[in-house]
Amino acid sequence: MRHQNGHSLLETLVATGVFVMIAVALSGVWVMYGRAMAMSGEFTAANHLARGVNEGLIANGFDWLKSQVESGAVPVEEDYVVLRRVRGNSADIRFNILYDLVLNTDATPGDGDTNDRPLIPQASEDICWISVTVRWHSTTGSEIIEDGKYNNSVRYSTFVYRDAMR
Amino acid sequence: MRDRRGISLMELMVSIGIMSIVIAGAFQVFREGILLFRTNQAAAEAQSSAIKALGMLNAELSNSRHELIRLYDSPPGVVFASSITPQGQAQFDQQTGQIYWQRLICYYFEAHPTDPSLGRLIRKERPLDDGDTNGAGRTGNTDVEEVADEMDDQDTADFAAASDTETRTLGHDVCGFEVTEFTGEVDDGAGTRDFLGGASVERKRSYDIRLEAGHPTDKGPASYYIRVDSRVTPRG
Repeated sequence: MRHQNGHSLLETLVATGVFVMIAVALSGVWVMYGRAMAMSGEFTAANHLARGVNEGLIANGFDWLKSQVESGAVPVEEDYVVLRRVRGNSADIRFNILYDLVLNTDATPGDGDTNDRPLIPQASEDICWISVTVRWHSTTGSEIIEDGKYNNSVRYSTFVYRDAMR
Repeated sequence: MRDRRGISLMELMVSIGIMSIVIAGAFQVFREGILLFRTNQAAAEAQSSAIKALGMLNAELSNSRHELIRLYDSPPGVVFASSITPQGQAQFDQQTGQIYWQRLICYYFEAHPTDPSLGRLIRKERPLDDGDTNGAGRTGNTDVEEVADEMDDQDTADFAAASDTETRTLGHDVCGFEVTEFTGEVDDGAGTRDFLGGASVERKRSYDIRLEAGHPTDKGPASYYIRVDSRVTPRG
């Protein structure tokens, strides 16, 4: 049998290191893709909910909205679940829906960045502001936890005029 | 560099055996991961598709009115009149201000003959007969009673049997679809449908829509199930 040169320990370690780095980088792409897919699904569902609640409130008309404000029925907070099962295991997405109605009687501008309403210039009882916020907790969300539970949210804001929806 | 001996046949066979076991284990883990990933992907796509379909139905139904909405069980679905032309516009009578109702739209669930998780959500539409109230260049009918009478002759089964209507498939792998009138608080055990006001909030007549996809009880490696609800209040 002829003599051959084998690999040195250093060569083996370098080759193993390169292989492990490539394998880890590739698996990271899959993990990122999975997280992006989950985040996209959550935001799609949250937007669907927020839009649906917003449209439902608008459809009831200004007088109904005003009656809800005057009777103290708002704000309303409710939970909603998009049911999901993967291989029989629960993978539900749990949302919290919060909506509020405010008659635009105060012309003090909000700062637009907080929960202050983004007021339009004129103050009038004939304008109702609708705010719908959908919140949920997700592993893909930020580290800022709201109300001790939620780290993702979408928000829809609408003004309804008395004469526009009767 | 010093010379070294090559490896013996026995050493080669042992190392191949060990390597085979390691590779087989790694492959199994990798395969399981890919399968789970694909199942999650299928569930996400089904959810996205269901939400798109519900969004479309919500938008169309919210432009109808209660007198022109009919719910059916066989096949499950809804038939309603739409005032929007195929070009996305509404037309009004210049004298009376009444809107011209343009089309009948039907959403129904088409079950698969053998596999309950392979149903489809179908949308069909047909133009309404013109009434005798049309103005120049206008299509449709402003008479709600006439439109309602025309609707009563066409349920979801008629639309399902019709081959001359414009047809779109909005959802694959659908296992359930229902439209019910919202009558107040709904308790289905999961507390998932009692959003946007319960029985204590009096509101305009609304409709609950539920779309399910996948298989609700299967626990196989590629199985998933999703359920999305929606509530719509027609503005008419």
